[in-house]
Amino acid sequence: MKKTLYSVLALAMGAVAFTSCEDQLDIEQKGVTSIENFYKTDGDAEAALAAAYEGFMCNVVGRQPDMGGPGIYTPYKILVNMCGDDVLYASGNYGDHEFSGMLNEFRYDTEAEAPKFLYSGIYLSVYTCNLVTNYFKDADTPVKKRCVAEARVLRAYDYFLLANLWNTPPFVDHVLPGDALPYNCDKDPENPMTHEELIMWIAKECEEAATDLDERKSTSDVDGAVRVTKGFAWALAGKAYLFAGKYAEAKAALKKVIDSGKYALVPGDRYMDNFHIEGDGNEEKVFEINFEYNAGKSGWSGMIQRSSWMEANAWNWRAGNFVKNPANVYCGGLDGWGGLGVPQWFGDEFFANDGHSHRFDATLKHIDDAVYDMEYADDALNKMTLEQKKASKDVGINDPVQGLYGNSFWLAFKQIIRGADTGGKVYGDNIRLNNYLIMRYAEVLLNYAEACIQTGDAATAKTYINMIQERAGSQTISASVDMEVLKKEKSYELWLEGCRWFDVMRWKDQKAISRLEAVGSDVPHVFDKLFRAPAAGDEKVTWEHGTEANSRFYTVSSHAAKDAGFTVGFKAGKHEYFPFPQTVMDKNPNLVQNPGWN
Amino acid sequence: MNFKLTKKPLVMMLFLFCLFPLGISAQNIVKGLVNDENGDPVIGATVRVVGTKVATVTDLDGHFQVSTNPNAQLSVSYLGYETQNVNVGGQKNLTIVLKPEDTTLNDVVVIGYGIQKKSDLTGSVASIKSDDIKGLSTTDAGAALQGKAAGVQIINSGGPGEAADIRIRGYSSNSGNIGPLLIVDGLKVDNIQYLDPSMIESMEVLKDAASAAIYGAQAGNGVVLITTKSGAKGNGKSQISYSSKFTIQSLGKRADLFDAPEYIEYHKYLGDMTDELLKTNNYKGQNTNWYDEVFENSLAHQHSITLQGGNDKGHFLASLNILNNNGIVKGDKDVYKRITGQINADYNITKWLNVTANTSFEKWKTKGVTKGYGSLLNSVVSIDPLTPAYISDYNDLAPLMKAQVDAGGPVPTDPNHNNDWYGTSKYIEDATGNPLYQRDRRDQERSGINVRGTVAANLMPVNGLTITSRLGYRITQSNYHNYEIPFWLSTMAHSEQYTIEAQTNNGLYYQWENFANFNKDFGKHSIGAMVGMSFTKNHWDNSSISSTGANILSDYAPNFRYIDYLLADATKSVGNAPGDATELSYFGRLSYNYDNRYYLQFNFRRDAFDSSKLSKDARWGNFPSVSAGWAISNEKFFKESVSRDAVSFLKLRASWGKNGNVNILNNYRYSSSIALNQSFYQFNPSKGDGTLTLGSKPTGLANPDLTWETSEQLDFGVDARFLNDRLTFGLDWYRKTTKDLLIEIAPLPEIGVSKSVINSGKVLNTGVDIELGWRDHIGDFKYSVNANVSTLKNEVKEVSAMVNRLTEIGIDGFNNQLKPTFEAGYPVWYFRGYKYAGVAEDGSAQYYTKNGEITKAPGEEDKQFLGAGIPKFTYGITINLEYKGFDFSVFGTGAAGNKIYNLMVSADRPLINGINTYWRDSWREGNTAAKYPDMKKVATDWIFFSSDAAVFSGSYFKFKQIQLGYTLPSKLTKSFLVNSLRVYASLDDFFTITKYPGADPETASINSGASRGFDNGTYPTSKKVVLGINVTF
Repeated sequence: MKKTLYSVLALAMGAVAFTSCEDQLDIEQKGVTSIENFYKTDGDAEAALAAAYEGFMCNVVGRQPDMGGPGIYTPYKILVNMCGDDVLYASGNYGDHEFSGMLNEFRYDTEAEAPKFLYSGIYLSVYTCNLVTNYFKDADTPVKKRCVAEARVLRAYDYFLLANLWNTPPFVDHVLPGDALPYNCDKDPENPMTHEELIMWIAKECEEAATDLDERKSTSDVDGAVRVTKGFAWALAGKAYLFAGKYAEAKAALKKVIDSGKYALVPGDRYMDNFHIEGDGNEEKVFEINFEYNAGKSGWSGMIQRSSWMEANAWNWRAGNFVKNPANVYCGGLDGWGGLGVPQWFGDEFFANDGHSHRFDATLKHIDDAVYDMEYADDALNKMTLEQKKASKDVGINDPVQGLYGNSFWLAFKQIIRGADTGGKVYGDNIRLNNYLIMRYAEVLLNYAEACIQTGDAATAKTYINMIQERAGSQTISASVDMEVLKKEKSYELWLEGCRWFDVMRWKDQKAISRLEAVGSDVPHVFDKLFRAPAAGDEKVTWEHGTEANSRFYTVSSHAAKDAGFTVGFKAGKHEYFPFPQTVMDKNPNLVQNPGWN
Repeated sequence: MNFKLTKKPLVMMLFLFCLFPLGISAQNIVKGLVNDENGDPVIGATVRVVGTKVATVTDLDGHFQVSTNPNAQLSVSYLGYETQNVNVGGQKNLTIVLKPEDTTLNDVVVIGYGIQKKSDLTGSVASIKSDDIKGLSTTDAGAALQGKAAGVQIINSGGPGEAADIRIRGYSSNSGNIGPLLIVDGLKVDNIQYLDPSMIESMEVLKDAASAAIYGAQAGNGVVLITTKSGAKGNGKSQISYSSKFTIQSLGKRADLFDAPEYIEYHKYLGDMTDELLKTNNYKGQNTNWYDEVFENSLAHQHSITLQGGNDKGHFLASLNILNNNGIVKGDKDVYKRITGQINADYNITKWLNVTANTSFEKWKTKGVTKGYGSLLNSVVSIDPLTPAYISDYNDLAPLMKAQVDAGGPVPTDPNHNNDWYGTSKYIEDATGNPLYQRDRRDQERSGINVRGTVAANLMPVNGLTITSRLGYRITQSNYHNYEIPFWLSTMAHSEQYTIEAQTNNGLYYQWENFANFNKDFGKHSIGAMVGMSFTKNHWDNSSISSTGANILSDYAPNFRYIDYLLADATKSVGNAPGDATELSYFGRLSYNYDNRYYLQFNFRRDAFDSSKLSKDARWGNFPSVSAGWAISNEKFFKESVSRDAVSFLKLRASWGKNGNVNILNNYRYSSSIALNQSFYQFNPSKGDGTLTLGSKPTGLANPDLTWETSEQLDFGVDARFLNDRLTFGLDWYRKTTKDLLIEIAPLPEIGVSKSVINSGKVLNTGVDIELGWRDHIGDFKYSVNANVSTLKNEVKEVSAMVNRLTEIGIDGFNNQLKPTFEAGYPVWYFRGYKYAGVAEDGSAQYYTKNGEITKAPGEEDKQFLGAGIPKFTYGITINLEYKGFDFSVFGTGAAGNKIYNLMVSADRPLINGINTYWRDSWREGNTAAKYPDMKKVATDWIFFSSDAAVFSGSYFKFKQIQLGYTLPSKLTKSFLVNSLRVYASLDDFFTITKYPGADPETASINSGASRGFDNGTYPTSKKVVLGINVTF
């Protein structure tokens, strides 16, 4: 009996024990669908395109959340602006904000952070565009065709950046397998393309795609400013032709934008709005990436990561080095770390040209105007007379060691956040809601004017340059124009808008290049004599109004990076293009480094 | 579920049934009594008639009766006692006295799915018994392992309720997920922090791969097996015991920070401090010691009561333990409260069926303070000593703070401190503002309930065979609440927003295991076999909601600080997606021993994990192991030539095995699908805010071959006992290679996917574990010394060609160029930075280039190896003395060879406080032979602070415990019905010997993963005075 019981029990246990539950191991993934079931319908095309815009927004012009985010800056703005001769690396001291300082003083190496981030980020965007062009190659509906066309132009802009920053970057126009080892575009065994051919490809790609694109409906169509339209495709085609030296083609493409009638310069008194939330999608915007408050999306991962986040702090004036930050009220209370300075010559020339134009006042501020004229939170300060302020230690620069490092008497103002830009601080006081500007009409007009000058049509060029000057409210309205006039005008109008460095390189502008060669050897600091008298070892003490008697602020010169042993300044044959990041070179034997970087 | 019979095991079981014996005819009745040495009856001793299957157990009075023939021999055995063979010799009444077993010889250790005599082990298993850890002040079973077993490193955190991390035989991976598999009474658990050391009967650490192989893919980083007390120890006596412990905690070692006069002197030298500035700031000579402001002495107390009893049928134990630890940060923001209960029972339903049930329940609550950038703990070491903790006079506020007060900004005051303002620096805008406000600005609490248990049936159909079916479960429920308010302390430390967060986490885990153990001796041959299977399912259903914004709640009074009162238009972030994880395993073991001389053991496990971890084609893995032992001392030639008094035992062991680490796999990382509608862009600003167009794109690159990390380990060991077992010695050498690390690579940017996960890389850990023990007595004076030492050489052998070097940030928010780096040829996550070469003649800093030349401007490529946070040696020593009723023990542990990168001085914020080490020995006029450069030249130079000038030795030795106890004579205590009464006093973590200029080097690390050894202020270990009492009735 017992034995039977044992046997039954053991059998039952055995049966239960040694069973297979393998199908319990199949657990379906949530929130995804298979690639095979996607990329079919118009809706899928729109969804793939939205992902391409997101890819462009986050990884090209944004702070690259897909790559972890680089910190307190957006690589795009750093890269396209900080090498220019019209900006200075500033901050608390040498060593602070190095990501930017090394670019500005040309002491970066092949592993420099900002270029590395941007290089990868652009290709991430290229990939999300390629997903659209690849999977909807045989677009059979108007929607799919438009989606493909928009992705093509976004991708063309990516290549515009790649070509001008890295010379002959790998050309990838389809989704690559994970183990691909692409070649520089000029060394591609199947489809070699020189740098010039790549620029031409950009122009042609935009012109071709324009056929399938929608057009901005009118100058007041804000939706038409935040997506790729015929207008932007033509504007980019024209810019690429200009860079390729194909002036007639440039002229033709840009003329289409002008003739479309969908764009206009804003009046001078609204010039400054172009860089703030009030100007989002206005008549002057040819293309910008839309960023706005979204109640449905969470702060950090949803929105803040795709905003410019702490760039606002990085580029606001260095609050801690002032007794009271003069920009505090203007900025809505956000203080900064002063990462951007202006060379004395640039401010001087610009002011001499413009006077207190709308444009100048939106771009730069003299240290006197900043300290004495801006509104403080403390009303007692505002009530002081100019003379009282001049003698008061309740205002001014109180840092005795660095002063304002990297600053001349002209403070950069265009990039500073305006209180309203945060939309009521919906994500915090350092999150701007205003759009990422890619191209505005003023640039189209100046590019057109340049193409006209280059093709011998100075008269037409003058019309458009005067149009820009008049709108700016400049005291200079040129009677005649040539490349010199155009260059100056463009540098004032589009300061810190990603044009200057590319222009200097393509114009091979010797004056600018010689300034770049000297950069890092003469770094100005502004000091306030009430807090720090000139010291014995000070180099190049310069008083703002000529003498100590009539001046409160003075600059001295330093060269901390050079002292530390760095080689500073632009080197011809090397710094025209960025190096491919060393980590990429290490992985890809097919990629050849740019000249001067080996 | 498909029920599919797998044939082999069943056949084997049927075979085993064939061994089942026939019945035996009845004969004479022999009665007897079994006593211990003290004359107390032994309950539950097994009395067996030698050569037959007849057996019985003694009853509550120690009596037994058995039918046998008058010339038979009886074998009487009981766990913990030497087995005695007694000839009946025609007697009808026997009295048998059992002698306690020499435990060293016959210690039983728990191995996976079975037990084994310690002397039979062929693998490397460290065994820690309850006596080894009694009286420790830690309340965490993991921390109790520290210094007690060679090859086991414990990484402690100082804060209350922070669990210790356990590392067994090195650091095998780039992943931080390299803790051992934890098994408590057969149940896999996710932590052992809940387990009070006083509840533990034994802890076994399976160190070598052969021992751990029975746990296969989860055992790559070792296994810790814990057995809780069962009630079986009382020799059948019922027992009630109560213990109570009061711990007075005070701040331990502090960092060498600048005090105010020295701070002023230093900064005047740098030039960023002048008398005029001090005057402007109305400096009145404050010299704030922030450690004193933030920390205070605090009390932790713990009480436990245990009831236990048993008889020949079963045992029962119930225990309740209450812990309340309010940490040393002033106020009640660092708290750990825990109530745990344990109910263990086993019962012999019939002779062939035994059931056991172990259940533990836990209710816990923690509140913690922050560490890292802008945190309380960073603030203690970074805020300058000129700033007072509190300010009551408006005129003393920092100017920007004053402006905020004027503007009606949210400048906080402390209602528990006269409504004073929190002092903030007038000299530097600091991200921390004030540590006390970092404490008060958030109201954060975690709490939960866990029930863990196992129920098992042991079926013993034939002699030697035990079939076990065991169900283990964990029911977990936890909550998290957080509330933060807008505040303004400085331009860096402020928030305009309220935040409210709530999370609820629910989980059910169960494991169902069925296994059969068979042990049989055939003459000199001993055979053991085990086969089994296990199925595990983990289900979780977690929800979270949070909101952040300038105005989110309908009111902010305390009774409104709940999600229910969110405004309708508050931005909400919500989450919920229930999930499951399953695993299926088959395993087996064969062991063989010939004449207690030659030992051989094979383990095999076959594991499969669910599709969230591995693709269907790659889900199964095989983990074999083999080990062998040779007890030389049992050889005839040895016995003949070596005296037992000199060498009583000598055994050589060798093992090889393969394990895995599956913790690193999750979330379908091998696959690529379309993340549907997870992207978005806003095409229509004209329609207003929030009009989104949703987008979709692939999740990444597919890698269907993705698999677990695997480790192979070779182990050679010697166990020996000398001088009549007074001296014990164990030595193991191991070599553990872990490959197929899961490495997140950035594929070539042109591929277009920012990251992808591949198997690549290899890490080698080699080391020697030595354990040495001595015990003896001189009359009534008993003493013992136990020591263990482990060495570790840790080296990354390979990383993917796609990354050649992995780097991490170190501590988020700190600007420095010294990064934790994972690279072939160096230890796991070594410090990579500039190599400091001393001071140049002019006082400037010099560095080595990668070629060893001297430079003042090293570049990125000159960065090099500066050490690592991993100790090369760890050791522990325990001394126990006993005389009459007194006992005294000293226990210490130490580590050597580990480095700490001190980030308490910052180049981009030179005015924050920090360690004064550099300044004290810096180049100045009159001190040109200094170790550190002219601080004027480097105070704002991050190359200097990213060099090994800022890397210090983290070696230390710490007296973990110095304890004196007294047990009252039992004659005395029995007069008031107490069996035993012990009182003790102890100094725990009291003395630390180290050269590290920061706080306690043991806990000076932001985390135990990639940033191990990065110190910017962590929770300091507290010194403890412990007073305790144990009473048994």
